[in-house]
Amino acid sequence: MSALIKFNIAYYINSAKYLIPLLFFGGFLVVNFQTAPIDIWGNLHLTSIAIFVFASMVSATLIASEDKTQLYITLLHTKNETKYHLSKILSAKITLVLFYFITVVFPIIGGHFPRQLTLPEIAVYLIVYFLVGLLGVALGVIFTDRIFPREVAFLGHIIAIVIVAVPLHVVFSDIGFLTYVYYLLPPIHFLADEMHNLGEGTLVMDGNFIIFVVSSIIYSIALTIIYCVATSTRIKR
Amino acid sequence: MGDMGGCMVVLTNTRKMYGKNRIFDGVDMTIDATKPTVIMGKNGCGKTTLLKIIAGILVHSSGEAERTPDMKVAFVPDRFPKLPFKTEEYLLHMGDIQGLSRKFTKRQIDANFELFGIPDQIKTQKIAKCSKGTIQKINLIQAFLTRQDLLVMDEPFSGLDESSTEALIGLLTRVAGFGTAIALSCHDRDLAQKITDNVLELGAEGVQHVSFD
Repeated sequence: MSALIKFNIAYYINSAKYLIPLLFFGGFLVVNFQTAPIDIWGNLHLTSIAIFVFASMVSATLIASEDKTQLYITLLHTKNETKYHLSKILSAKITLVLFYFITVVFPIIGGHFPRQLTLPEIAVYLIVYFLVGLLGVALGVIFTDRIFPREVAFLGHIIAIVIVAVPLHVVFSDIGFLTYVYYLLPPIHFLADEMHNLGEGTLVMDGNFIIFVVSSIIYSIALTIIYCVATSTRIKR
Repeated sequence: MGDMGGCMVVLTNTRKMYGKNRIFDGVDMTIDATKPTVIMGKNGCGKTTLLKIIAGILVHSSGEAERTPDMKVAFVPDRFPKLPFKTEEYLLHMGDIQGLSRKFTKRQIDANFELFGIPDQIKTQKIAKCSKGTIQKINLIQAFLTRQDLLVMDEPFSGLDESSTEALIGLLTRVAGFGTAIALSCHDRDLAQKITDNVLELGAEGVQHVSFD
């Protein structure tokens, strides 16, 4: 698996497909931290949405970076389709870890918070980034040309990002049959509910946060399984 | 899976459709390690598709396609992509993915570079910057890094000069002698005859043995 991950990451870096996600991420950091001081938990909410979008862009572009003919060669050398597909997802997750730390460290070094973050708060930041990163990667791999035609994948990805990033999901929760759509969306809204009224207070690991952690893990596992099965079926057609 | 009689791949009345478009139908053939199989046919008759089914990277539409489980299979595509890697860097990755030691892979790369007459300085050259012939040789080397159970090659002689063509024929003969089953496509009857007497012509209604008498 480590050889596959090294190959995937080297391929991604050499292909320069990371440029657009990186521009988005860099642009977000610059714009978001223009003002100081910033609300600690409001910042976590906003940066989490940005990490989610960034993660979905990284995973989608990482998968698209491999040429389809090379995909067949790699797949045969690997001898295990599931291992091959999982390696793609793990490669994206590993690539993102560096950016979680950057997003935490950047405002601390820049003195953007009204007070010093405590170690438990830094841990919460990293846990939340890790979880929204899982969700972003899982969503990004679904909207690739490995599963859908290229145009459909691109459009679907944009729509999914907009629905999650802009709080349109709140509308869904209030409209009859669209409630089901609300529950199909990545469970970031649990995080939004948690952060909403915290202000500068202390985060309490209450029910909403636990639900966010558990549902994020379950949701990302479910999408990963869908990705592995759907990709496997489609590339062999 | 039925008794495959020592064959690596058995196709029975195999058909492939892309949507409503029938590529081929009624293909009956076996691939085994006793002698290489060469598939010939007109452009667009489905040779590439048939080879991908043999390699296990495409599924057939109907009929049967039985394959020995857990085979080590290598595939040499017709058009190798211009990958964003240096040649040796790429081949080392392919060796790593197959679980080969770096030392062994480097030895294999050196031996194959020498066999195909590729200068050493090409090792640090980007694949995208290589000539068509060199790209084809890198394509071949990735498949020959270690012993395979089945070697599937789509137009492997494409872009090779005369000495590299002779080198490849020699290499194919050698790996076939070690028990590797080989299926390849080729447009040149003389070349096909040099490799094997098991030459098949693919048409819309299946495959026919080609006689050289």
